[in-house]
Amino acid sequence: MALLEVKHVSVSFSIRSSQLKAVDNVDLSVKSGEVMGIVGESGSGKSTLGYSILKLLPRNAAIEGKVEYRGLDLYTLNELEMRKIRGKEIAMVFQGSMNSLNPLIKIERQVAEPIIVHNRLGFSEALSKARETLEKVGIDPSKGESYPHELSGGLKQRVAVAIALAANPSLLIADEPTTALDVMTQAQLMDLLKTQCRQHNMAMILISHDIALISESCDSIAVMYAGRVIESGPAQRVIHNPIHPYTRGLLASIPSIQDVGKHRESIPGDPPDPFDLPAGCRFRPRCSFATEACSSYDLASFQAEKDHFASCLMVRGGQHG
Amino acid sequence: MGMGRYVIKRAASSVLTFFVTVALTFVLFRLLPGNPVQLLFRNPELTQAEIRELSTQFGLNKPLWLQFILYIRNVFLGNWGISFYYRSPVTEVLFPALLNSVILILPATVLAIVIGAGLGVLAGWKRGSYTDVGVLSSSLVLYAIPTFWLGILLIMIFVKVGGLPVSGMVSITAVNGPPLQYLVSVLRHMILPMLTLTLVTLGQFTIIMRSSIIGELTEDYVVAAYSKGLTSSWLLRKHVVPNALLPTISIIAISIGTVVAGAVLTETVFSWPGVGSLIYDSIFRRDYPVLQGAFLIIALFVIAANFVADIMYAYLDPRVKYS
Repeated sequence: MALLEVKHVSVSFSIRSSQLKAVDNVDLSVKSGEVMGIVGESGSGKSTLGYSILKLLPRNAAIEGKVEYRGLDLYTLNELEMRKIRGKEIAMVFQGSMNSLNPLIKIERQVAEPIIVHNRLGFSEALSKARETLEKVGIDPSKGESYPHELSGGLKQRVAVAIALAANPSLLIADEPTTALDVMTQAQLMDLLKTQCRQHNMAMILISHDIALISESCDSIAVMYAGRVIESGPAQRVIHNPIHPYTRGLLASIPSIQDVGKHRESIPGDPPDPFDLPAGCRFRPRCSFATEACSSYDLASFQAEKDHFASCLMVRGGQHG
Repeated sequence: MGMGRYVIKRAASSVLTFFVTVALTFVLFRLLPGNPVQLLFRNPELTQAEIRELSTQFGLNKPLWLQFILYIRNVFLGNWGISFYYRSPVTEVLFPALLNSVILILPATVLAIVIGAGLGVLAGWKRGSYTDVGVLSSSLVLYAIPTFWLGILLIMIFVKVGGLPVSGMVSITAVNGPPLQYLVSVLRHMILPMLTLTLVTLGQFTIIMRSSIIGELTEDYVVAAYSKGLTSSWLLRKHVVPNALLPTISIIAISIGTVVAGAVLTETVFSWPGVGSLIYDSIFRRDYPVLQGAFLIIALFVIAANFVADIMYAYLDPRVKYS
C-alpha cells in the first residue's frame, strides 16, 4: 500500500468574487521511503498542492478530493486528529527559512516544540532531544541557544529540517528547501535530506522549480503545469525518455557546464493566466506540436510505459517526436 | 554593546528630550500675553517704580539668556516657581494633585491596556467573525466617544439612579473618619471617573492589538509553527501574541499622551482633584507657574513611558542591536 495517495485533489482560491483554480484534479502516490519530486514553474500549483496535503492553506482556499495517508482520509479528520498528523506523521520544510522560524524564540526551543507536543515529554527532556536533533542535522548543540537572526541562511534551513525531523515523521514535504541557498549549501542540505530519508526510511515529497535538482535527488517525478500534473513516472524514465513537450522543454533548458556560451533552448511564451485558462491542453498555446485536436481534448492521463504517464495526445497517437 | 550600556544610552537620550521640552516651555510661556509681575499682584494701580522693583526681585530684568540658564538650573533643582494663585511653591501645589492623578490614571490605564489588548487578540484571532465585527465596531465607537460626553452621561445616569458618588474624591463625612472609611469613600468615588477613562482609552488599544495580531498571522513562521501540530492556544500564547506585542508596546507608549489628555477631561468632569483639574483651574486663574509645572510633569511621564517601552522592547526582541 502506498504511504500517501493524493486522489483527484483540486484547490481553488476565492479571490474577490472570482475563483482561481490553483490545483486541478491531481493524483499522486508516494511509497514508504520514496523520494518524489514535484517540479514546475512558479504558479504551477506545486506549493499549493504541498500545503493542501496538511491542510495548511489560507481560509479562502477550497479543497476537493481525497488525501489518504496509510489509508486514512486526511480530509475527513477533525482539527484534533489532524494535529496528530502534522509534525508527527507528515512534517514540512518551508521555502525561505528566514521567515519560517520565529525570530523571538531560541532555535532549540523551536525544535523542541513538536517533541513536547507529540512525544509528550517534559520541557527539559524535550530540550535535550532537540539538541540531539540539531546535532543530527549538523548544528553544534551549543548553538541551540542562538536566535534565528544569529545564524546563516544555510544553518537556518538546517534548523527548519531539524524541526521537521524532530518527531520522526514518515513523510517529509520539502517546499523549495534549497531555493534561497548558494550552490554549496544547497548540495549539503540535499545530502542531509537524502541521508535522513535513508536512515529513517522516511518518504519525501521534494517540491522545486529546479528540474536539475529534482532529477538527481528523486526516485519518481511529477511535472506540474498550470495546476495539473502533466507527466509523472520513475525519475529515470521521465528524465531520459520525457514524453510531454513541456517536460522536454524543461529538461532542454538545464544549463550544462560543457555548453557554456551556447544558446540554451527555452520554452517560448508564458504560462497561461489562471483566470483565463485555454480549453483542452493548457500547454497548447506554447507547444510546437499542437494540433487541432489538442484544444478539444479532455483532461486525461495516458500511460506510456509502466508507471509512466503523460497528459498529451502524442502518447495516444503514438507519434513520438 | 550590552544591555546595561543600552539602558544608560536610552536614559541619556530621555534626559536630552526632557531638556528640549523644558527649553520649549520656557519659550512658550514667554510668548503668552500679560506681564508676569502684573499677573502676580493683580493690582492695576502698581506704579512703574514698584513694577521695576518687583521685576528685579523676580530676576525679570536680567537678559533673556541668563533667565534661561537660571530657569534650567531651577527646574533641575526642583525650584519650579511660586503659584500666582496659591502663593506657595508650585511643587507643593503640584505633588498632592499628582498623587491623586496617579491613583486614578494608573489603574485605569492598566485596565484599559489589559482589557483592550485582550479584546484585540480575540478579535484578531477570530478575524472576520461576528466576535471580531462586534469587538471592532464597539472599539471604534469607544474610540470616537468624547471623554467629557461619556463622563457627563454617567453623571446624569448616576444622579438619577444613585448609588455612586459623581463628584470629588472623598465625601465630606469621611475626610476625617477612620482610615478604612476614608479608603472606601475614595474607592467609591473612583469608580465612575475610572470607568470613563478606561472606556475612552480602551478602544485604541484593541484596534492596535487587533491589527498587530492580524499582521503576525500572515507571517510564514505562524504557518510553519502550525505545521508542527501545535494547538491553537499554544500557537497563540507562544508565537502570535508575544510577537504581536512588540510593535504594540511602542504604540502604547506613544498613546500615553492621549491618556493624559483624557485624564484632564475626566478629572475636570468629575471634579477629581488631580493634575487635570489643576490644569483646568489654573488656565482660568492664569496661574502660569502651575501650568508650566504641570506641563513639565506630563512631559516627564510621557518621556518615562517611552523610555520604559524602549527598554522593554530591547528585552523582548533579541534582534534589537544595542546601538
